[in-house]
Amino acid sequence: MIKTSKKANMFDSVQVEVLWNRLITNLEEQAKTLIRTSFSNLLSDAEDLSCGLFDSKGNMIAQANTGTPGHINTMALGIRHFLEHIPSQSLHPGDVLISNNPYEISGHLLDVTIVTPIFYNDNLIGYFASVCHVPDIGGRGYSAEGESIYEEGLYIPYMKYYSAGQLNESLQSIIEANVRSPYEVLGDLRAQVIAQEVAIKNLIETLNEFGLTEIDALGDEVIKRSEAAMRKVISDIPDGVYKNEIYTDGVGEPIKIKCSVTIKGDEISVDFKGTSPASLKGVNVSLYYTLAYVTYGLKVAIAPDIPNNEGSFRPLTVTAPKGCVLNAEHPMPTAARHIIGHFAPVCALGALHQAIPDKVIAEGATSLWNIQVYGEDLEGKPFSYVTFNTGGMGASPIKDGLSATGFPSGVRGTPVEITEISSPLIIYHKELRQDSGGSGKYRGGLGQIIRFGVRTNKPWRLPFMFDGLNFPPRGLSGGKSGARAEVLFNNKTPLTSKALYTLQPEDTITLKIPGGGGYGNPEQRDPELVLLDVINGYISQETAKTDYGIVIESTPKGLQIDWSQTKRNC
Amino acid sequence: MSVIRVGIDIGGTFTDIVFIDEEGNRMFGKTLTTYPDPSEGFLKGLNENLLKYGFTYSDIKTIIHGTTLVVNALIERKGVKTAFITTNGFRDQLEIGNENRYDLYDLFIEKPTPLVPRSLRFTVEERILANGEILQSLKESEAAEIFKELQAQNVEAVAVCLIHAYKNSVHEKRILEIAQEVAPNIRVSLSSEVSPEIREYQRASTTIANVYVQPLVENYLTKLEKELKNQGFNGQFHMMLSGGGTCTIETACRFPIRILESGPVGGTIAGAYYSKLCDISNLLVFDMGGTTAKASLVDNGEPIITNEFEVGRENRFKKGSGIPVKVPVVEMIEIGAGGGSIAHINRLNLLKIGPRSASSDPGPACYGKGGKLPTVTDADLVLGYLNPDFFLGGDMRLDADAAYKAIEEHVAKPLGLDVVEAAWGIHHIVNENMAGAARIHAVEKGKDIRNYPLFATGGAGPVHVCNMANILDVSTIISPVGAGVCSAFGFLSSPLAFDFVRSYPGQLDQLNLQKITDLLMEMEKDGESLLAQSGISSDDITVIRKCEMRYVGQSYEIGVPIPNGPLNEDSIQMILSNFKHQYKKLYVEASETVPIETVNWRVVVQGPTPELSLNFNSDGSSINPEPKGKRKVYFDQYSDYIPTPVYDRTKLSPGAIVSGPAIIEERESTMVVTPNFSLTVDPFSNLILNSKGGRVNDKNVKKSQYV
Repeated sequence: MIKTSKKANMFDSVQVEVLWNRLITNLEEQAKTLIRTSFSNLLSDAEDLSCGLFDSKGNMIAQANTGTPGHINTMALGIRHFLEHIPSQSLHPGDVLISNNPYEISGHLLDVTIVTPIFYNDNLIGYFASVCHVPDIGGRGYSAEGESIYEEGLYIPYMKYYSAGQLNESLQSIIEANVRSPYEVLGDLRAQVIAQEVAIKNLIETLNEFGLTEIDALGDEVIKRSEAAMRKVISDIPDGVYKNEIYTDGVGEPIKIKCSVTIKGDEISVDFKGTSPASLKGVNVSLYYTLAYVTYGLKVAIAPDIPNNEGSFRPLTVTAPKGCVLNAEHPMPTAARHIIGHFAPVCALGALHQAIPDKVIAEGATSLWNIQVYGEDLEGKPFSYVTFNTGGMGASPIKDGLSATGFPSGVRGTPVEITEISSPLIIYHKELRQDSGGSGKYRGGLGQIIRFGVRTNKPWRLPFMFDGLNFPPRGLSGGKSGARAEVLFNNKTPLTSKALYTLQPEDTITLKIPGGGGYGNPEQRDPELVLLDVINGYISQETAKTDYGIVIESTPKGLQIDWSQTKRNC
Repeated sequence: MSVIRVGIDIGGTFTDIVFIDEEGNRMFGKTLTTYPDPSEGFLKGLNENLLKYGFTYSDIKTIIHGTTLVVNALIERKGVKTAFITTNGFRDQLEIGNENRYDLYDLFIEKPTPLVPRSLRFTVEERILANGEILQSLKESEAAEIFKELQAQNVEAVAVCLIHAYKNSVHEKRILEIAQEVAPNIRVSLSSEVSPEIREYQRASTTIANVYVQPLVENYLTKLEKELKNQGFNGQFHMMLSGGGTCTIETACRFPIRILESGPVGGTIAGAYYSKLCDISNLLVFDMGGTTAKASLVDNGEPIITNEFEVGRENRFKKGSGIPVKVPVVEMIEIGAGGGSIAHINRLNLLKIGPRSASSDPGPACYGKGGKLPTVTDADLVLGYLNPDFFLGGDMRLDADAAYKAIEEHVAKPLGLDVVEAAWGIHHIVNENMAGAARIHAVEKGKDIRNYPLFATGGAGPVHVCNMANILDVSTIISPVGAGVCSAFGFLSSPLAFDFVRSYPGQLDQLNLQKITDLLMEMEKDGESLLAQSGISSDDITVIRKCEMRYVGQSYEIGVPIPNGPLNEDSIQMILSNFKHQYKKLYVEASETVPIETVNWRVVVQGPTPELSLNFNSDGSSINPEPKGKRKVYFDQYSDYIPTPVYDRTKLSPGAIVSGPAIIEERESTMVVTPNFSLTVDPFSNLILNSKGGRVNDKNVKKSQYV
């Protein structure tokens, strides 16, 4: 029977579970409110946002089950930067903080972080925070075109957005005057503020119910347990130094990502020494964004079920030489940092494969394929619109890779009908790309072919932020590479991956997004699965023959394996 | 001779039957569901109960039926060979889906296998723009060729979903005509008829699911209807709709996707009925069974209807892992928490419950059927909530020692707790999980759950409901007579109703009112003629209109009631103020300046609500009941076992009062009344539990426990 807890002022396993679930419920409420009241497809359809709860010292305790690693994990560390500039003693009830510092938080000016301190009986007990990708932040927009942060738009330093409940009208006017779509941007910022108000209200009710006056003790407990579990998992991985490198298209010249992953006892350190220097264009990645994605990549492989919080980060360190493409410094441009940033965890995972081959998947399309288009619609009204698109994921040691699915990013695609009703874009084609999945015992996921244009009478502009045209996603353990990307102008002229193009009204662009790499020797793939892939058009008869050694012929009964010509050592 | 109305609900394990005669007397029956043909169990159970209660088929005025047939066919992929036709360039919309991973931290997720393999997905030359204009006309010869090919391949069903067909259905309709000429035996569903809403993936998925199960449903229902006629039944045979309301067999055969959740929905409808009967406008219907619990809200006497639903989740409890279905469904959330949910310790050394279930085989450790792992039922037994000698009225004995040992070995020892602490932990955490899910569900609907008394049904519902209420800070609980057959009863309280939807996006202050009025009237006329076919006169018909609206630029709509009759400037003002009112209720504040737009227009056309006058047999019951015995039961409030009186529910008559702690036993379930609740029996024999005042999560208690 429970009269009192065995150890005074400590939580037992049951109590932690109960309270913690309650906190996550609060965060889910915050995220739901935000998604449903937002004004842009980036939040409502793509769900490019995250929400977290922090203790009074700024340690992340819990996060909502939505969002994308580049947000969650940068926000996890970003709160402390806010507090360095705006000390907690200077905070009052009704204050709301804001910033889009690209180097210390989410990596580009387009991600705005909003932090609301939580007061309980006049004591500051913690913070709710959220990061949202706003539809525009001025400057050169969402593109790799800027050559310094000054060209990339409005930079909001760490500051108060609300003071004791009063909106900072000056800041509001500055934002309104500097962004292309002030209506949507200010609507989304307001949604963030409101969602956090709702979350605080709910948290305080929870505290009242449990007779608690603060969340630090619980936070410490959760963090302590997560850290211990993480250390236990790491110590089960064989010690060693594991290396890998990946090439990306870069801008003009290839960018090399190089890492060495060191497992020593119960800690992991990842160092990106040897990675290419920063680019002149806006593809540079802040160390915090690198850290966020690498932490995420390691965690999905080794400890998917351990909660993501301060404790699970502690045994991991990530370093990169100053001024390299993965450790950008002020005033380097960063707007399209996702392109290169998404490769960092994939590089680390590839290294980790040498230590834990069963838990790692082959490389996939990796970068999101974000289409940013701007120009004028048929009525001459200016527009700017972004859609997110994905290629194939790499195959795993136990199954085929997922087709048209983002990894490591966690955002969603935009429905064609939503794109066409909210913008003058017209999408002519959006289908899976045959033969793009790398062959293997398990096949890589398929990429997509997307062809689009704009319904307009004026030239329209398209800053390319694509990668994988020169270096295909590689397979693992004998699996073959996925297909590299291609971008075609009017379905015939190949274009390069990063440039600002001006197109005529009748022009179209075709994107052929990479598929994922395969896993294992293709000759070990079940011939029946190869046949099914041909029947369904995922692969061609040609690939069945050349990669898998299986000859498939049309017969009166449909496609069948011609065993007389098929050489397999089954 | 008396005339009866019959509700029959076919579930996974049992087929439940409820009769109500003209005096309002209720009769209950239960029989095992039969496989592979559930209509056998339907007829057998109906026969048995007609005999038992002294009726014949010709005494039946109406039969209302709900079944899990459709949902099971989708989950088990047991529909017919189905093909898909879409606009050239969009063959893979089913497989591309939302392009995301529903679990960010799992590298090995499975996405649902599409109902139509890629080899049976075809495209035709045609294109309609977002504004409904035709960019490219339909290449008819191509469509005809496809149907010839499909016939050669013995395809039985085809779904057609063209881009922007929700806005202009002319090409889809033409394809249907072509199909009827070329391949008249193939069943065809059009997205513009099944689910005329924007977002191609969801619309395609819904249309495919509809036609995929259509032949099954047609065979099943026509056979059943014929069989009933042969037996002398000449009343009306209706199906329950997933969104509440009922429809004719003909409609169910045409839009089988609409009867997807026709079974479980009955519980919520029953909740709505009791909410009106007992004059409690809001309820949280809490149905806890063996593997899952379901929660749904009744708001102002009405269930909440959603148009976003998922079926056959790959990961049962992960949102986004199933096939999306966009038809009206009573909003329910399924929680991986039932009597059979297994307790285990995770890597953080924390106690977790489920989602893995011991189900009925091997079952909880206490079933003595080989299960060794501790479950919620085992914890409930150790805590004294269940009676090992009176489970299912004594038909099944429970092994308390086995339950104790399982909890000791797998939970208590690893965590360094004693067995009772561990058992309470299991019971409490499962309640927390259910309460957390219910609370999120309420928040998604913008409701404060504390205003929702709990309506407890299902075998395990009454066992857990008091402690759930304590967590949710809810002070009233209702548990009806026949909680175990609540769904079938719910069917009988539903009016005959049809609902319709048309997409017509536009800014509120720029609408073509004549066009909208025509659109609404057209839907209403369709509904009225369907009701007329069931013999309902136009005087008895109610029309309910709704519009889904949002601020311009948003992606999620909220449902707003709109006035009947022709729309004019005044109605626009009324719609505007209704919108702001609803929005504020949901999201704290509503903007006065931001423009508002309409998306979907919905109409429900319904017949009269059936009159039920419920009589209850109170033979042998008393308002001063004597307990049938006492046993030791654990209560958190005392942190100990205390001797607790045990009552037989059939001996409690209206007006009886019992103060907690108490146990009320009936054949199908046990009500655990915690010390902070007292119970009365209302005139309809419902158990009504009220908090004695003061919250159980009283700080004095909780402080010692949690700090």
